[in-house]
Amino acid sequence: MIRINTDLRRKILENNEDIKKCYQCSTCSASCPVLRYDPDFNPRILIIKALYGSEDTIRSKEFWKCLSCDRCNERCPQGVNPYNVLLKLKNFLFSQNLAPRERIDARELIIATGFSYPISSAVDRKRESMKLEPLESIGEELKKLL
Amino acid sequence: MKQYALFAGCTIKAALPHIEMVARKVLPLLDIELKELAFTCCPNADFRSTDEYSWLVVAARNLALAEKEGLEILSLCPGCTQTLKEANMILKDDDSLRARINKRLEKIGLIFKGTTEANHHLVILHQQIDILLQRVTIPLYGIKLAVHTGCHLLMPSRIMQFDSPEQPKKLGELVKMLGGTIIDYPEKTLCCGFGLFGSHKGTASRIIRDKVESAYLAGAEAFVVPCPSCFQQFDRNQLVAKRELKFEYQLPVFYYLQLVGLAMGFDLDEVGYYHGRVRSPELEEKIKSLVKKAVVNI
Repeated sequence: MIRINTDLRRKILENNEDIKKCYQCSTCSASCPVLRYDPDFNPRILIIKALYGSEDTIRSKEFWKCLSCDRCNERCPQGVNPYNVLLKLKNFLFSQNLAPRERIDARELIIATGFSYPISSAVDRKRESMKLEPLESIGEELKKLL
Repeated sequence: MKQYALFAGCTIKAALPHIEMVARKVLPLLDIELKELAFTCCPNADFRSTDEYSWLVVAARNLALAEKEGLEILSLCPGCTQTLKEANMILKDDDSLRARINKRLEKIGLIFKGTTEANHHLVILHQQIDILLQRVTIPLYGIKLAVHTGCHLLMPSRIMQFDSPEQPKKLGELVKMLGGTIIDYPEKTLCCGFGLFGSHKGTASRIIRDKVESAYLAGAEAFVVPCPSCFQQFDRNQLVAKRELKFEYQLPVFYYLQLVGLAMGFDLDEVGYYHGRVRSPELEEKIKSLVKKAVVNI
């Protein structure tokens, strides 16, 4: 049984009206490289549960398995843009402190240094051997900006 | 000679600097001058998944830096290209959002006006294919390559506007310009699976196994990719998958500009091939013999 959370449903639909156009055709699921290998990640089911405002689904870890390949957006005949719906749900989870730790750490690394990879003397030595400039942190400027 | 702001991206700068090295070697010989700017992470899709607004702010800063120099951006990474193109389009289209973001950029003395474009080097090279053709001195005759364009250069197609997401052809055309032979394979448009390697290694490994198997059985000798994430998945992660899933075959991978370098007369070492982990001694010999044949022909 699915417990429907109307508040959550309203929040999900805010600025996201296109999701209502989903007629559950499963084109997204048939196109999804993750579902092909992992039956627990099913975009069609995630969309209908998001529409219901199903709290359990939204708190589940399944959301974060998306490879962000955009194939579902490309093929969706209704312009629901499943990838973008998932993005908005993930943004909502992050704002509620429910994002996975590794996503929060990855975000903080970028804000701290400007790079998504740790910068280190080992990286700089490798770059120097190829006559490339060392990497300099741009974190201070990003902190001012964010 | 046209000047561009080089957007190498974090993966290449920190994990695959030999790709930056080969880009800096090869692109100026194709009349493309590169300028270094203080770009940050584009930022990537993971960053976007936490907060889309700050994603847009950081992307706007990168675009504004190029605008200030009056330069277009040449990117080495499809993911960065997609972020920069999409953010550029969103900000050009939405006056009130642009005004809000510009308030933030003001704090660091920048402004987003919407006067620059960001493109991957494949897009730029495909537009000047005659120059590429003129510079080929050692055609890659007989080298059988499986093309993997990946996802972000193709989709969303209304933003990327580069090639068909269902039947991509342009990277194949660019490989043929170098004399290479294209091997079609059933899993050509399957995502490489890199994004799940950190969190769900089993899934990512099965995806890369199926890609490699499909291309290997079709007769390919190597992959060619335009993307540093795909490169890592086909290179280091292919070996991890091979150990875990115990498959027999393996195929090395080239970043497209490494092939351009070979076709222009650089050797395997000069294009950074030996920084890759998957090797094929047979293919290496075949590539070395291309040079000998070319010398005999002169």
